This record gives sequence, C-alpha cells and structure tokens, in this order.
Amino acid sequence: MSLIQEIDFGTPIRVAEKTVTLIIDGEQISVPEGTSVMAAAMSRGVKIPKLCASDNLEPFGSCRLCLVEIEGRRGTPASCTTPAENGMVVHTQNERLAKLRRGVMELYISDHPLDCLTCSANGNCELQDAAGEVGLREVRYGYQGENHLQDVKDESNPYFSYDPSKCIVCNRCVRACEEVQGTFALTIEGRGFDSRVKPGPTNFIESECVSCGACVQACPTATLIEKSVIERGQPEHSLITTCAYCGVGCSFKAEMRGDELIRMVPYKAGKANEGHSCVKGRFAYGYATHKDRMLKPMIRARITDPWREVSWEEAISYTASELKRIQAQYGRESIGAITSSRCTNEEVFVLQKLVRAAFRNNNVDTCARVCHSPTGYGLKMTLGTSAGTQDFASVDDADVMLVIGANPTDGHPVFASRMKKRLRAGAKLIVADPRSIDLVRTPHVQANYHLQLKPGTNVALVNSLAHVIVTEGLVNEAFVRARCDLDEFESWARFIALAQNSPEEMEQYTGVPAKDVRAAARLYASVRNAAIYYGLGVTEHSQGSTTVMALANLAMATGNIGHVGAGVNPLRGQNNVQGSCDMGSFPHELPGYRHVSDDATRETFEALWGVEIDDEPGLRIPNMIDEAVAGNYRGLFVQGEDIAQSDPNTQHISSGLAAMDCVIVQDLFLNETAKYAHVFLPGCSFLEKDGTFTNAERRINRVRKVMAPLCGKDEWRVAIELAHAMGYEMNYGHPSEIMDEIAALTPTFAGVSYAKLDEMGSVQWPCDEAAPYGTPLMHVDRFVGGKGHFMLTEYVPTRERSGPRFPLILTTGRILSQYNVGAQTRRTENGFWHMEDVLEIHPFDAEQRGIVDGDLVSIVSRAGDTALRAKISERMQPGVVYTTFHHPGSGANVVTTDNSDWATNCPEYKVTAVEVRRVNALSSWQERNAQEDVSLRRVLEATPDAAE
Amino acid sequence: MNQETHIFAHDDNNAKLIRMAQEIADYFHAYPQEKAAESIASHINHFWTPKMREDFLAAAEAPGQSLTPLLQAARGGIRRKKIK
Ligand code: SF4
Ligand code: SF4
Ligand code: SF4
Ligand code: FES
Repeated sequence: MSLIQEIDFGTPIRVAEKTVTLIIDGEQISVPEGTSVMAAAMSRGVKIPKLCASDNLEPFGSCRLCLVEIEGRRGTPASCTTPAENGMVVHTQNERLAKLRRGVMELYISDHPLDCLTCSANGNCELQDAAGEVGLREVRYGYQGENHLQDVKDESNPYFSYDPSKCIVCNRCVRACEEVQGTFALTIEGRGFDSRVKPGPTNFIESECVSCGACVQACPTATLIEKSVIERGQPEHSLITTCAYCGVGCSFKAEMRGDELIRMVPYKAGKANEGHSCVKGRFAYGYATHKDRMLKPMIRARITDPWREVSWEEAISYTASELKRIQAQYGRESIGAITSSRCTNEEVFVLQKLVRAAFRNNNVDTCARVCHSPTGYGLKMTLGTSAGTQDFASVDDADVMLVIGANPTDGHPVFASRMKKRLRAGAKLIVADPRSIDLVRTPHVQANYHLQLKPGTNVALVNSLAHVIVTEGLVNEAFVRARCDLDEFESWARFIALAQNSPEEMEQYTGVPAKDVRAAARLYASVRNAAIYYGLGVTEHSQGSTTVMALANLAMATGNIGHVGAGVNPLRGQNNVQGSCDMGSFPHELPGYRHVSDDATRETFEALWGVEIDDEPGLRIPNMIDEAVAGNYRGLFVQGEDIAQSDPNTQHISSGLAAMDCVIVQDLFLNETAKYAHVFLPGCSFLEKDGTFTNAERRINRVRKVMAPLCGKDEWRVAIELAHAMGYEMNYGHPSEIMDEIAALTPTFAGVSYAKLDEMGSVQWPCDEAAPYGTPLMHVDRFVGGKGHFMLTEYVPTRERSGPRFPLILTTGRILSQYNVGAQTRRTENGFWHMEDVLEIHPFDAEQRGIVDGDLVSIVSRAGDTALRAKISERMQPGVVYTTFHHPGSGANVVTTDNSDWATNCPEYKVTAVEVRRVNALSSWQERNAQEDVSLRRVLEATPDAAE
Repeated sequence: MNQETHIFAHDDNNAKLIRMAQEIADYFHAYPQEKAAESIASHINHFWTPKMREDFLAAAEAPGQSLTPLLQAARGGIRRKKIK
C-alpha cells in the first residue's frame, strides 16, 4: 500500500458546454471553456511549477512561479490566471522561464529556514518540490538581511501549529478559510516584506477559527501543519474511508504510518465533501485509540456486581443462554435489539436479521427513532420514499433556501460551507428557528428573514407559509396537475386556505409577525429553485411527522420537487442514520422500507433466510422501555448506542433498563447504558471496519479497515456468532457478502456491490437496473409511488405547556466541536472548545431570577431536575432557554419528558416546560449518577485464565 | 421489581397507550370522520404490536374510560391479535 496522492490541477476544473483547443509544449489539448492554462497543461500531465495556486481555490496570481510564454503575447503571463483560448500556443519550459522561476524561488528561499532535513513537512512540501522543479542550486542573498526566521510559533490550536518563520505569504490559507470554509478568520496583515498571516487579534484559538483544517490542507509549506505530523512524522500509506461522525459523510484519506493513524485528510474525489472537512472528521479521531476503550468482553449476573472479563466464546454463549432462557420463560416477544446509526449498513443488517431470524420477532428499533423517524414517516406518506430528494451539490443551484430546525454550521459543517458559498453568490435565505443560529448572520451572509418562532409551533408556521402560497395564487398549478393526486391537493388547498391557518391567526402561537411570514412565503414561491433543508428542530416534536409532511406539501405546491436546486432535504444527524433506516431497523419494516405484513416481501426474505418472519410489527424503543418497566420485556441487545444518555426522561429509561434480566451493550466505551448491562461486548472504531455508511443524500460510501480490530473481533461477526449460538446460521466471509445479500433482497439496492463502489467511489440509491449508476435526484418525472400526496396538517399544540410552575421553554441542540452524547468527541482535544454543557438564558429571564453569567442553576421540569452553569445569551427570545446534551453528568435528558411525535414516538426533545433558579448544589440525580459512575462500572482485576 | 410496581407500571402503560392513540386521532381529526377513523385504525395496526393493540382495546373498555368520539369510531378497525 502506498500514499494516495491526488492530482492538483492548480485551478478549479470548470464545467462548460463549449471546449477550447490549444497547444501546450507541442501537444494539442482540449478543455472546457474557462479552464486556466495551468489546469489545461496538468490535464495532460504537464506540471507547471506553482506555489500560490491550488485547484480548490480561485486563482490568485501572486507567486509568479507559474509563468509561461504564449506565442503572440508579450511578456510571461501567469498560467494560473490566464484562461485557455482557442488556438493558443503555450510554452511551459525554456531557458528564459527557468531563469525567471529560479529568481523567484531564490527570493522565497532567502527568507526561509534551510532546515529541510529536520522539517516536519520534509518530503511533502511544495516549496521543496518547486525548488527542485526550477533547478534552484544556490541562493545569492544570505540571511544577513531582514528576515522572519525568528518569528514565534502559534501553538494555541490543539491540532495544528502555525510557524510564521516558514510562511511564504502565498495567501492560500486565507483564501481557503474564505472560499472553502466561509469563516473569514484569517487575513494578511501588513504590506510587502512585512505581510504576515493573521488569525484575528491574538492567535488561532481566540480567533473566529473553527478548526476545520482547510488552511492546513491548503498550506504548501510546513507553516500550518498538523501537530500529529510534527510529533510522529509523515505518513507512508493511506486508504479512502468515510467519516463516522455526521450525516454529511465526508470522504477522507486515512494516512497511516505502520498501523498508527497519522492524520485524516479530506479526499477531493469524495462527492459529499469534495475535499473539505470539519474539526470532528479531520482531527477528532483520538477516541479510537483512547485509553478508556474497553477491549475485552465482560459479563456479570447483576448490575451491582463488578464486571468480569471473559473470553469471546464465554461471552457469546452466556448471552445466548440468557436470551434463550428469557424467551422460554417470558415468551418470544420478551427480547429485542436496538441498532446503531453509527454502525455500518452491514452491521445493522446482520443485527436486524439476528432479531427477525434468530430471536424470531420484530423487536428491532434504531436510534433514528429519537431523531429522524418522523422524516421516514412524513416523506413516505407524501413523496413516497423515506429519504431526502437531492444531492448536496444541488444547493449550488438553489435561489432560495429555507432552513428550518437545523443548525448546519454546527451540525453539518461541511455542507454548511457549501450553503454559505451559494449564499455569498447571491442566493436568498429564510431561517426558521427559535434561536439565532450562526447562519442567520455570518461573514458576507445575512438571512433575508429570520422567522424566530416559539418552540413547538413549526406546523403553525409552515401552514401559514402554505396559506399565503395558496391564497395569493402562488401555487405551481401545472406541476400539481401533472404530478400530484388532485383530489388530495384540492382538499389540502381548501384546508390550508382556512382563516385559522393564516399568518395573522397563527402569529398568536408562533410569535412571528404575519408580515414576515407573508414576505418569506412570497420569496420562497417566487423563484424557480427553492430548497428546503431541515433537521432535528423539525422532527423532535410532538408534531414532528406533521411538520415533515407540511414541508413536503409546501415543496409540491410550488413545484419544487424533481429538479436541481430544489427539494426537501433532511440533514441527518449521525453518519449512518439514513443507512440504518434503509437496512430494516424499524420494527414494522424489512430492509427497503417494506412493511412486515406484506406477504410478497416476507416471502423473499423467508426463502433466502429459511425461517418464517413474523408479520406483525415489533416494539419501538419507547414501547420496549415501557414494557420493561411493566416486567414483560427482559432482554435487550444495544449496538453502539447510549440510550441511557441520549433518550428522553432518563429516569424512566434507567428504570426500564434496570428491570431487565439481560442487557447487552456492544460499544467502544463503558457508556451510561452499560451501567445497566450484564454483558459488555467490545466494538470496533470505524478505522477497524470494512463496510458502508449511507449519508443524508442517500450516498453509499465505503468505510475501509486501516487497522485490525483492537478487541480481536470484527463487529459484524458478533451478531453472526450470537445467532449461531441461538441455533440460527448466517454465513458470510466478508462484509461485501452481506452487501450482496442486501442487494439481492432490497430492490433499491439491487445494483450495489463493493466492486461498483470501488469503481465509482460512491453511489446514491436507488441503484438498480433502471439507474445502474444511482440516483442523485429523486422524483424527476414521477414520484416513486406515482403521484405526490398532499396530507392535511392541522396544528395541534403540544401537551407540554409552560405555565406558572414551569414558565420557560427548554430546547436542546448541539455544537460544532461535540458530537451527540459526546462519547467520542469528549475523548479528544475537542473538549478544548466545550468543557461542559451550559444553560443559555436570555438576560431578561436571568435578571428576573437574579442569575448572573456562570451561576449554577437548577432546571426543573415535570420529569426531573438537573443543575448546570448559566450562560447569559441573546440567541433566544425571552422565555426560551437552551442547552446541549454532550456530557452525561449534565443530565439534560433527566429534564426532557416522554412526550413524543404522534406518528413515530420520536421524543419531543425540543420543547420542555421548565423553571430555572439559582442553586448552590447539584441535583440529587446528578449526585446519584456520579456515585453510580463508580459503583456500576467496577471491573474485577483480570484473572490470569480469563480473556485470552 | 415487586408486584406492586408492576401493577402500577401496567396502569401507567395503559394510560400511555390511550394517550398515544388520542394523539394519532388528533392528527387525523382534520380529515372527514369516516376517513379519519379508518386512518387511525390503520396507523395503529401498522405500527403497534398486537399486544399493544390488545392492551389498548382492553384499557378502552375499562370502566370510567371515555374515548373521544373519533377514537371511539376508530376502535372497531383495530386488528385483534391473531390466535396462533
Ligand atoms: S482551520 Fe478553518 S476556520 Fe480555522 S483558520 Fe483554518 S480554514 Fe479558517
Ligand atoms: S501559512 Fe501557508 S498557506 Fe498561508 S500564506 Fe503562509 S505559506 Fe501560504
Ligand atoms: S461534516 Fe460531518 S462527515 Fe464531514 S468531517 Fe465533519 S463530522 Fe465528518
Ligand atoms: S501559481 Fe500562478 S502566480 Fe502563483
């Protein structure tokens, strides 16, 4: 294996219908119009020396190294800024150019330390390469003159360092921060010789920098470089894999040295990210080898016993015998499993198969229950399939974006950069969110409308937008007539036109001025390409499914389905939420979203699996817990999830878990759920896996194993061995064989194979005979189910009301540097940015309660109470408080209630009525939890014969 | 867990099932009565386990329990557990 090197064309590859033909060094070359001479040359392998150019940045033309001669033109133009033209005759090498380039190089080198041999970039430095390319042999100007060699390093960022003595002021970092990331954290300060890169007034960590790594990636020298490279040296081999954090699904080169990961470098050919990354995928991988990882299987009879390390054989046979015992005693329905959206499609598929074929019931659910289950339901009911309609690239053509209940700059940062780029180019933006999220105002972007609604009133708001569209004659009638069920449309239009749905009527609930709603609706309906992006702020409500349907109605009514730049797009939380749902993780659906009661579907599975499949739906997570509390549900396999921290109403969840006879946790760490477990099976990090993840655009990306499983066993084998121990055989030699079975059983995956993924890089389902190369855009000529279905979406206020006892509304969310329950990110340097969860409270509410910034405050709801530090913030309106849930001890979910979406039981995380007051001690739950962190996590010292 | 807590949890569960059914009914309330009743029953058949459906039907019949008219109308459409 070697290091994967991607070609740098120097300037962006243009897409154009027309091509131009020119001659470079005697060779005829045709390229799309708008391509630079530099990129045209590189497309034929002719490399023109360069320093300030990189193909992910617009050409800048500052270094003057890329000079060429063009016949009939005076001078030596820079090839990076000169567009290729028909009939041009270009010379890239001759004595005159060589001399000029050597002169340029000489100047650079005379202000650059000559410590190449000991430099961390040695062997991977463009300055070094360029010096070689131009044949630099001597530097006539010594170091006697003025230079920057004594400039002080900035080591403030935990992941990369900035050594200004090595900077050649090529401006690539500044442009990367602007053009690629959209943060504008860097500037060049000073002029001429004095010019230096400047991150804000002090240093990187205190600047606007979000540590995305784009500048480090762009830097041609060792000036901006990963600390991991400084510490451990340059990598020597790499594989392409997929980030295991969020639903953007960025592709990375995992660059290795031996079996040690040196760095993760975003992969340009990755279609979800096109070479960009965020702090999590780029830098926060340290958890994979963190000392807290549990690498041995363990069992215990009672949760108060200490854990005992055992061999894999013993762990599996103990688990199987417990599960069999429970089923014999309490019935077939008394056990089940929860699949993980962090795991691969293949791992999820075998786990749900374990449940359906070996447990012989349908009690399998997934953590998507608590995030995007309303997306599954809502989009299926309206558009006919449980998935977003577009690819990410589609946003480049959006004229208007409606972002509702999503915080892309924190939750989906790489896609947010793409959005911001489009917004800077002039697209209009409507944000509907109770908080003033960063997108509302970010450098060179300002939302046209921020509809700052009260939490829990999404349906009221979206209905009022639709009301304007219907009553002001803004419906795209041609689209509706051609594509949608007309009777349903008409009854919807009648319903939505009722005065009760008007912005003026709804204002009392939403708090959003009717005139803004009217203006936003007109804006959304006024363009050809209006795109909806939404997140958990839509789904995690008692009317989550209703809002998803209301958004789909809005898109259909305006004809914003089936073409580039439009659509309804859920921004998925975890890396494989889409995939885990596709893979049959819901208790009522077999893989490919087909109901278990469908005889024909069941028959195909039964024929291949050789068992009868239950035709009745199984239990969903909340129902599992309810049944556990009632004593009927006794055994649960939890794959890579932490329901004791992530699910609402923690005390109810923990009493459900504590009531079970056998809880099996498969995870990297002894997480909160593992406190209640009887079997712990160590899992694998994404670096130890072969498999696939499916991102928010339905893109199936390969995950590749770059190191052997630290626990000694591939995660997908565990379900197979457990099935075997329970008397059911599954035979796979490699995850690719699991994918072959998925393809054989799931029509939308029929054309997917590892061979195809290796060839294409990735593919978006549906991928079948009709679309062998996948489907970037859905519902183009017809909806998957034939017609689009308008659903009625009456606003039903949540039962969770604020009142005299609980006058404030708590809403929850996440931040950029941390990821969900934080099990991974807390075990990296990302803790630097987010040491603890805090309660954001408006100055008005704080003052009324005598709270000042930093005070410990209790947050009390009908479900429970916890205590956090207060942070005074004006991001919310008065009456709304906000927190994150990244740290287990914060107990944000002790406070959230078990109210849930009417259709899917997705919890209503986003609305909890609370009271906040100053306290001087943690809550009793927090104190008990801290004790249990110790008492329920004891591990016996390993005995010599155990766990070999 | 002792017997008493089980019984308590059982009542709690039944109350929850009624509440869940009511929330489903609240959504379909916007539709004409007949279609709404049919959709509510179909939703419950689609997503609830046979045991949840039986528990719900039993709870709905318990003395003192009153369902909204729409939920009442949907009741007849809820599939009973198959005797296997
Ligand atoms: S890491 Fe990203 S945000 Fe920070 S300065 Fe570099 S490009 Fe800008
Ligand atoms: S830090 Fe690197 S990318 Fe930025 S100007 Fe200096 S050499 Fe160029
Ligand atoms: S945007 Fe998401 S997928 Fe991409 S690097 Fe960040 S966390 Fe990973
Ligand atoms: S690469 Fe063209 S001027 Fe620097």
